[in-house]
Amino acid sequence: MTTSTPTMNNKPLIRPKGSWLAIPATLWLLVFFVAPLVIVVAVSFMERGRRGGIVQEWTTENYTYVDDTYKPILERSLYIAGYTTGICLALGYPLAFFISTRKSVRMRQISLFMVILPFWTNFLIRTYAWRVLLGNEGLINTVLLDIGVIGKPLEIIFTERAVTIGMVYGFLPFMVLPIYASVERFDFRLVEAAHDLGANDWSAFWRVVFPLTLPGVVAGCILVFIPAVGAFVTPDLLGGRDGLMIGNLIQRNFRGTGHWPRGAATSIALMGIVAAGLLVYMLVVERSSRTPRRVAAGMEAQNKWVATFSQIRASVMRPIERVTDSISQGISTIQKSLQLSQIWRIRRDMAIRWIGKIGLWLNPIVCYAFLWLPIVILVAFSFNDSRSTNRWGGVTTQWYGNIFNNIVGSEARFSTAEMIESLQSSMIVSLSATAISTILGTMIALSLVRSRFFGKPILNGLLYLPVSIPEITQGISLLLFFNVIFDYLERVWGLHLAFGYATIIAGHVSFNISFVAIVVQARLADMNPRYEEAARDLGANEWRTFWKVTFPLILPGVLAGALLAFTLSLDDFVVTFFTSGVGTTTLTVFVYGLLKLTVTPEINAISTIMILASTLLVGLSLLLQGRSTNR
Amino acid sequence: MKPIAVELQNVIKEFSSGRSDQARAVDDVSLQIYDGEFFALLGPSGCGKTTTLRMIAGFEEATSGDIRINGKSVRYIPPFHRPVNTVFQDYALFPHMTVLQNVMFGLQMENVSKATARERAMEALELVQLPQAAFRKPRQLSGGMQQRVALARALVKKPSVLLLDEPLGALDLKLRKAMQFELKAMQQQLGITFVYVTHDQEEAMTMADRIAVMNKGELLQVGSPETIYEKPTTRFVADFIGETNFVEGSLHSLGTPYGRVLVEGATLDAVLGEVTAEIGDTVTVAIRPEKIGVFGATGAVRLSEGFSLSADEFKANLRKEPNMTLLDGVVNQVFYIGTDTRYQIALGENVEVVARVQNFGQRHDTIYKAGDPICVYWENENARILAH
Repeated sequence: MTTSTPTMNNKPLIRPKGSWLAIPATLWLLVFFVAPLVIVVAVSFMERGRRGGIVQEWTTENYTYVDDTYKPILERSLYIAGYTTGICLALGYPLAFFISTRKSVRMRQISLFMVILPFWTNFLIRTYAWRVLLGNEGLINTVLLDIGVIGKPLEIIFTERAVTIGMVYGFLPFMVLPIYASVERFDFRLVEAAHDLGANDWSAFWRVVFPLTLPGVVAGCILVFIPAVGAFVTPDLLGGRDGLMIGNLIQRNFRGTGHWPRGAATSIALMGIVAAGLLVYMLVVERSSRTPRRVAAGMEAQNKWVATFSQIRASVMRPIERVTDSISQGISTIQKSLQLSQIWRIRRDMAIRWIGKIGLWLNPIVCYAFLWLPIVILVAFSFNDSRSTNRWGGVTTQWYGNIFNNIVGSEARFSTAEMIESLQSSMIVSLSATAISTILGTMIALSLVRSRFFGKPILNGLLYLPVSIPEITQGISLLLFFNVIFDYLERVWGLHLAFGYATIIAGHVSFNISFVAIVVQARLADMNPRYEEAARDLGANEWRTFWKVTFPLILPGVLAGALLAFTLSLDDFVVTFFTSGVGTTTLTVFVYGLLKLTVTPEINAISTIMILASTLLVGLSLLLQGRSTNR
Repeated sequence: MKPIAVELQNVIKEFSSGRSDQARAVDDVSLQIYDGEFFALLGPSGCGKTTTLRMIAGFEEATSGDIRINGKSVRYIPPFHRPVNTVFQDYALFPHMTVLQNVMFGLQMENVSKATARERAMEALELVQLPQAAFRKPRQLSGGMQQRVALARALVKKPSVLLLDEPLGALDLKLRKAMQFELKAMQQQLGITFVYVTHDQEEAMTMADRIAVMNKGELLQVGSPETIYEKPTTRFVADFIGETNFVEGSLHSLGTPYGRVLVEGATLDAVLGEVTAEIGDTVTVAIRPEKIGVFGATGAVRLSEGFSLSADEFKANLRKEPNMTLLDGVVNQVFYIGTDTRYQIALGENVEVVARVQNFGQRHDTIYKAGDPICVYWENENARILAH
């Protein structure tokens, strides 16, 4: 049993005065994250100019409009996101359970890797793969027609169902990973204890396993729900008119002859939904289960916030518990009235056990097929010697050749030079954003772990914000922000600035700082402060202690953070889409343009190249991480 | 014959461990545990005692053999339908439930109404003297309190057999001692069969009515603490329980009850017991240190207040006694331990024994020094011949 005493011992006796390290990152987040959000709020109360843009006339009309006109789509977004979350949970929980109960470490790693790998393939490509599969003449319909299961093609593509399938596919790992983490921490001897006290598998699961893995479940639901409700790419590529979601409405209001204030108001509505989701998360999940150290510290300080928080939590949970209690009471009275003899109870419980076992074996098969089939088929069809998306015509590599000869599709708007150029743009953006965010993120992590100053909890919260806000909101907030700033600069100083690399990088850094800081913070928290004390004891000053001892020890964490930042930056579409200007088309924006056009074999080939590239990148990062943890 | 609560018949447990070496965790164990008995399974770690317990509880399935509880085979019965309950090694209290909810859990699984369950759980908590902790979470309790909760949680189900898997292992020494007496008292009061797994021989001796000693999956000896201590049948049991001197020699002659063993020219008579050995075989003579008496080879031997004999006179007296062994030696090392003094005494080239002499009071005790010539003696019934 660990108590709070180790926490006391881990506190460094000498506290480096490093609070200033938080300043650059804080300023960056204030300017490029908080200020844009404030502007979104402000713009949502303004009027639209005659030729687009905004006029500083205050009004609440935008909200009335959103309420009147967009309500059905808001509701649809909510239930599509709800379905997506529910299906992800139903598929993901057993899968996470399967992974974390593998006996050998290697099997566990492999089965987890099999979930993560598809996830590291570019989101656009993964979504596109479903377009190939679900189309009216797509593979699924063709196969089903051929074997005679259906008489006419199923209309899946460009419906809500297609959007849901695409999003479940896209977000399933978000559900699996946190549940995996909490099931892995779960002490399975508690199941034995429950069995010993007379609980069959069903009761043991619902009364012991599930409540104790609930934090992972709720975290997973939130991680799926937030991007799902604010999704823009999936409904855009798979949804058509019937699958329109809030994200599409927001985007439409910001492109072409859009209505920015309405878009801003819609965005605020979206944020409201997300905030409600986060509130549920905070209320349901005990803080102690996530960060026992911090809670111990909070208790020591007799933090009245913790007390208030737990009171609110109790008031929310009590009615829920009352309902679940009465349900289980009801079930037990039914069971009592049935009065099964012991032999029948044993048979029933054995049946439950077998059903559970079969389910636990079927689920991973279904899940892995679901995760891998689209990618496998996409890669296979990139070698298909036929323009058809559903018939196999032999093997060819001509589509790969076409990419480099400016021939893609019938539209012929493709240019190899443009593709190479976009790749260069991507590299410029990702490398710069990674460098800046790694430095700033490491600095703020150091100051947050190693020093104590006023407003530290607020800063911690600020760090988690970019992670928990829909990408599209961040995208349009930056768009509005730069427009307002550029307008102002032009009017006051006559400076003419435009969207370009700088705006994209600013956006990327503001979401990457958080990821780097979180990764480095974790590494720092695990580090024994005695090393630093030893260095100080041996006469090293603060500066030399940092470079000779601290930095080499946290370097693996910094590298992991940098790699994560680079991957996220390279993979980002939404923020880039709203902050890029003429001539700064990145690879993802370029690919999006292609995917919007049509389904052609050449796009399959480009996708395959991108899948290969990201697989290599992930492989490299795992190799690095493996080496750093083995040390 | 007392009614039997748990019976193991030729139970074998093999763990298929990926590789070809199929280690037998439990190797052909048969034993009977009587109703209302405090039964200890004792052995070093990895001896198969916990596996045996887990098979009784139903967490492991025997590879072959049968387990009967209250006369009925439980072969295909899952743990949740067996009339046994377990106190787990690290208690395995449900961390998300309060103490009361933990104790109520087992009753709710029997569909006992909530009010009754609560009442009975409170009674169980009173039995372990923890009603005041009912609404606390397990992690807010000390190890000793958690242990009591685990006990209450198992006892509230009124099992016919209570299985305890090293329940005191995580407690500090003082608390462990106190809990030993408490557990024993509780067992006598409730009359429930306790099957208690431990690697601590002292714990087993203190509490158990009968002890089964296991090693490497095999059951070596079953008996009362006295039998196990005084009449061990194997060298392992003699060594594992308490401290023992082992003197090796060759079997010279067989007799009843004594056999004669040749050790470096000298002869030792010791109880033959059930050892199957032939004349000429190498055997071991075991003798407990506290059974060995010592006196200085020169000077006087004080027998009581104001009455002493010279060493030679005392020797002559001892030689007259039948079934008494008397040997000369030299003190190698002396350790003063407080309650007694420990002498390591060389009896021959390669023969050394340890004698523990109780300290009565400074006025009475003679403490010998290293190098002193010394005589040792013991009654032959306290020496036992064990198979090598």
